[in-house]
Amino acid sequence: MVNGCGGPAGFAGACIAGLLVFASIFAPLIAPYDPVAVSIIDKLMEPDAAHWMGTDQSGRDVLSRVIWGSRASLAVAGFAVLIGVTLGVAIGLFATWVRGSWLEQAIMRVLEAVSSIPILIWAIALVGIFGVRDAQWGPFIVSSETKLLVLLGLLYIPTLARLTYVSALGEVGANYVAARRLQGVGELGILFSDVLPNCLSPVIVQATLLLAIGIIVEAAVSFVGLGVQPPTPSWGNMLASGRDYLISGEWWLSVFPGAAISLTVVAFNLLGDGLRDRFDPRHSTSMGYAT
Amino acid sequence: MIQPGHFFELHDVRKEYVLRRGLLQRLTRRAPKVAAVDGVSLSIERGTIFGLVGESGCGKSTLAQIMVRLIEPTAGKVLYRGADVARLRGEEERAYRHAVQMVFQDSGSSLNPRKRIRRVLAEALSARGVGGAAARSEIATLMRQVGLDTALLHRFPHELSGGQRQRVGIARALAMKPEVLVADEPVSALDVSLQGQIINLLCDLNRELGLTIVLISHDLAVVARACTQIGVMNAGKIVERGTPQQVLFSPVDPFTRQLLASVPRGLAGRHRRLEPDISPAEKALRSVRQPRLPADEIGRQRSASIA
Amino acid sequence: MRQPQSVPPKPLLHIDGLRIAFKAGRQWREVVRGVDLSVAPGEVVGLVGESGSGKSLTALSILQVLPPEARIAGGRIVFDGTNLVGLSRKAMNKRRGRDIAMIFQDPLTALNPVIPVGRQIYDSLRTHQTIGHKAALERIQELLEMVGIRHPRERMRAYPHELSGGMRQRVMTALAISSNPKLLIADEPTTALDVTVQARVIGMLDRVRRDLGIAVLFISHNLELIAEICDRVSVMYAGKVVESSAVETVFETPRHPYTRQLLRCIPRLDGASGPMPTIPGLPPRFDSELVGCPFAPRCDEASDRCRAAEPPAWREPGHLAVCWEAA
Repeated sequence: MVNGCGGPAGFAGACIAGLLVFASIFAPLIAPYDPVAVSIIDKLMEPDAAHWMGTDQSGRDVLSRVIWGSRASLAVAGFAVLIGVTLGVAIGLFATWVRGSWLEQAIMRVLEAVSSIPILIWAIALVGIFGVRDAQWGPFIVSSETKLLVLLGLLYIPTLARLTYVSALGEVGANYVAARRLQGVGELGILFSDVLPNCLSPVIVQATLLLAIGIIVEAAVSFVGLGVQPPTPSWGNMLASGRDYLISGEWWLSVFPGAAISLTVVAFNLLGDGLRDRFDPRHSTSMGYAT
Repeated sequence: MIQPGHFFELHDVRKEYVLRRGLLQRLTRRAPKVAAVDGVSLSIERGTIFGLVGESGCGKSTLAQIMVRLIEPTAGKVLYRGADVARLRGEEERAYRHAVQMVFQDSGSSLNPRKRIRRVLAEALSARGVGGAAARSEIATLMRQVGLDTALLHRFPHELSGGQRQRVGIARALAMKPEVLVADEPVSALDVSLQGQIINLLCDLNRELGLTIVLISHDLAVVARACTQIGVMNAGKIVERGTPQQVLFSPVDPFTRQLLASVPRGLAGRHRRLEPDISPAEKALRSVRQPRLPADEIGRQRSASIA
Repeated sequence: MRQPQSVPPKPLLHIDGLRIAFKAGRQWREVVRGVDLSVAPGEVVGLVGESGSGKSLTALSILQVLPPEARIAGGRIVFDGTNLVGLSRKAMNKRRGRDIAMIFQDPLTALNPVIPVGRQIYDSLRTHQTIGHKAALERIQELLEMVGIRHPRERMRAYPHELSGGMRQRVMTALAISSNPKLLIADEPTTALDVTVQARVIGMLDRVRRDLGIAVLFISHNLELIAEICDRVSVMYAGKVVESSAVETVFETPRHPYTRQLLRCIPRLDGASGPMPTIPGLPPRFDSELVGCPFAPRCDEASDRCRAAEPPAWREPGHLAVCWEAA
């Protein structure tokens, strides 16, 4: 179990990440209070036995809001990665398939151009352009959260597509692929049966690290008011509204969502690094040195 | 033109690579070309073991890939049973693919690291349309043919030794019921004590199944031991051809002589190289040696020509 | 420090009961199981064995550059009177690259790809020795000429990837001997090279060590090559030295069946045909339990005694064989 995550650090990351996912799924059962129930009498109460993380300026329970906020943060980060992995891997494989042609060159140049600008900058710029109100995309009514996660997912594509492409290119040159060609297996068949499974490991590692980036982007975008809209709690918008109270001494408003962000990012990074170690081929051929 | 009875022939086969330089150079003038294989003609008789010897970069691996049709020659013809293999289509092309198989150098990449041995062989058989119980019994036969215990079937490649992996590579090729086996440096990654086992296995297959084998190696001693005919390759050309006796004891080409002189010979060769003088013949040879292709260039060209 | 057994002349390097453990899952397995080896000043000693015999680990342990999964589990490595095992990192760094140098199978990984080769030798000279700029440049030319590189002035400016494999190995050697080491460890220096190039590189190594009097520990799986340049040879099998003697003795009157069978396996240009001689079976896996002589399952002379108990060392002046049948 511990080895499956690449050691104790990776295992710790997996545990924390698992706990967070659990909390976000079962938020309605776990959260002690309604996260949006306003109660002016209880406003700005310090953490105590009734409210472990205190209450905010509208008297809402901070702990409940942090738990519910994990929903928004993890949903955005998670679905974005799902979109990114699906389309990124597909495009990466497609570029490998058409290698040697102008199409391959065109795809790779575009991907490189997009990834030359950091994701955070892209996200803020694009959300700014598309606005924060619910929009009508075709038959769908799209909330600002959904817009954010779709945009983020699209922004993940270049990283994942290039990663897939590079590892797939390494695989198609291998002799076992040549052996499959000699068996008369078609190029597309080889891509799916041999190449794809062998280049997924780095993609999974990268996806885990992108989850952490997604949390940060969601927080940053919500912090500047472009992401998840109040009153729905998200760690980013909680941080933004707690900002004004830091100077007057109500530290719990910003410290707890801030800590949640840090903890999640650290957890996913630990897990990602652990998985990287785990997938390192040297672990399976430890005797390779003694020649 | 084609005489009956000829089994596997190469007629003046050439393979040129265009050296890709910068974009500007590509636009302004024609990019320089390098011939990896420079006009090779060969005739390999059925049921024999043909040895191809040469140093790295001499074009022997390119020639092997042309033989199995992993790459297409720039010019020249490959004839199999009298038919031009470049013109084969559909079912005939498939039959040729299966009939001419390759055994790769064991560099760790000749077997898919994520597939168990059973799956490697089962996939090869299913490419030939053999499945189910027939496949199971044929897998057992293949393992016995290459001298492996069926207990190894559930192992992953990295759990096998180099010699065992090489045997699996041979079994995978045999699964296609080939007529010709092109073995590209099949023992160069193996220890001396194991090289003989693999070479002997190839010789046994040649004798028992009547398999025609093209054995490619940089090791003249290994090739001389196993083959009926030897071709020495240098700079994309076959510079010497003959039986092992002819090549070893009365070499004609200066390159063959240099190759023979370079083989380590134990106590007899002690300190004989104190003055590594370069003979005029070697000097002349060096000046005509082809420029080497950068390795990544070859890889790109290869994948481009397959795609 | 006194040597437990004196090997005349006083050895430069003396390895005594070296054991190296390798991490296999959760357990540590000994893969080098008590190796004794000595190299006298100016002597060329060959270390031969199959892959997995522990010959490379033995070499790496001298410089203490073992991979992270391996560690020295016991024994001493005495170099020039100092036990290197347990030496501080700082003290070891002083020895590494100055008193002891190493060349590898693949020089490309040992040379910095973005620095011209001349510059790399220059940097090494200036860090290890007090030498002026001009003197260093002259020394580089001298070194490159010594390893048989013509036109050293032009070659100095080349980057490693612009040189052929043989040239790179020459540059690597020039870099290794630039600090006037007492011992050069050559780990399969010609395995990746063509035979014609190998012949020239071996000739170069032979001349360099004669000119400079450097002791060489030459590691190879190729017995014929070892015979050409070594004075003494140690044969390793499954983590132990099974036979050790002067090179002529090992070739002419080998006492260990493994050596005999290994010699028989070497393909020779004698025009022989028919099946190649082989050693049946496989060397033991590093994680298997060893009972008796580890070579017994593959040995054509093994008896029940060999399979039951580990063989004793048979000694004669200057000749050692670890085999029940040797005596």
